[in-house]
Amino acid sequence: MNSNVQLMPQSARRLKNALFWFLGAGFIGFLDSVYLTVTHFIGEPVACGFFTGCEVVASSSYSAIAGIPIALFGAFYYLFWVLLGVWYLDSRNPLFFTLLPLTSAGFVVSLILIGIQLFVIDAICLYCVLSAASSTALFILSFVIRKAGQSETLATIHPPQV
Amino acid sequence: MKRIAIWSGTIAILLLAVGGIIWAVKNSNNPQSSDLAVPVSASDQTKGNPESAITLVEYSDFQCPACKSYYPIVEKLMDEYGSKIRFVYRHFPLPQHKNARPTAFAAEAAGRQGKFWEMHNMIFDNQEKWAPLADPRNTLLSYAEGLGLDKEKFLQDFDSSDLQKKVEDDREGGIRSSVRATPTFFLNGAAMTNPRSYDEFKRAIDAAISPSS
Repeated sequence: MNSNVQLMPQSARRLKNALFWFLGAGFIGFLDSVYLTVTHFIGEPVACGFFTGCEVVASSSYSAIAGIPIALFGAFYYLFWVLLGVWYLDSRNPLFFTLLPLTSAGFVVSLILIGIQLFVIDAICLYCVLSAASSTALFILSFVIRKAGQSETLATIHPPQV
Repeated sequence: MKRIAIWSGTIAILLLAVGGIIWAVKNSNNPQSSDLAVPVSASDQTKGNPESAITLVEYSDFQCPACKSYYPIVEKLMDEYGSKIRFVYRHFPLPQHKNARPTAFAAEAAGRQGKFWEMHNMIFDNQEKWAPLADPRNTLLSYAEGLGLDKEKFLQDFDSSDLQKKVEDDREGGIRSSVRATPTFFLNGAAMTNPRSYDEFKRAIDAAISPSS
C-alpha cells in the first residue's frame, strides 16, 4: 500500500537488517522450542551431549504447566513473531511496530525461567538458554526496528527530495 | 504474486523445519540393530503364555504419551495372541518424566500383591490425571486402595530400596540393550522398528509365529 514510498536509505537499510535478524532469532527460537516439544511428546530423551543440565531441567516440575510443556508455548510465541515479521514485510503495516513491545513479555518470561534454573533447580538447560537468547534478541531488536520504523514514517511524510 | 511467494515460502520453510525435527527425533528413536541384553527372568513382569517360544519385551515409561498410545495395541494383541506369546513389561523411566519412577514403583508394589497388570492398566488409563501432579503418591495410593491392595504393605513396598533397585535394573538393562526411547519393543530378542498400527504389529507377530509364511 506504500509502494511508492521512498525511504531514507540508511534507516531503510537498518530496518531491513534488523528485520532479517529478528526473523532469524524468531526462527531459531521456534526450532529450539519445537525440538523440545517433539522430544517431550515422542518420549525421546533430550540430546544434551556433554551437558547434563537439560535432563534435570526437563524432568523438573517447572518444565510443564498442566501437562503442557512450556516449550510448546515457546514454539507458538516464536511462530507468532516470525509470522508477524513476514506479515510486516508483506504489508508494511505499521501495526507491527505497535505490537513489538509485546516482546518484553517473552523477555521477562525467559528471565524468570533462567532464574528458576539457576536458583531453584540448580541446573542449566542448553536449549532453554538458546531460547532465552532468542527472546532477548527479539526484545532488543524490537527497539532497533521501532526506531528505524519511526524514520520510515518520517520518510513517508517527508519524502527526500532528489 | 509476490505476496503468494512470500507466504507460501514462509509456510513451506516452517513446515519443513517442523517435519525435519519430527523426522530426526523419530529416526533416532529406533535403534538400528541391537539385541536384548538382559534375558527374561523370574523377576520380570510377564503375561500371556509363559511357555511360549515367542516373547515380546517392551521397555516403557508410564508417563510417556507414546507408551500410552501403544498400551491398547498391546492389550489387543494379548487378547488375540495371549495363548501364543509371552509379553514382558520393563521399566525405562525417562529423566524428563518426573512421575515415571513413582508410577513404576507403584506398579511393582502392586505386583508384590499380585496385581501388577491391574495397576499398570490403571496408571495408563489415568495418565493425564497424575502426570501433572507435583507428588503423585496419594493418587497412586488411591489406585492401590481401588484395587483392594493392602495399603500398609503397598506403601512399604513403594518405598523399599530393593523395589526401586528393580526399576533401576530394568532401566540399566534397557541402556545395555541400546534403548534410547520409549516405547522400544524386542520381539524374540531383536529390537523392532515401532509398528505404526495394530495390523503392522500383528504382521510382525504372525511372522514370528510362522516364519515360513
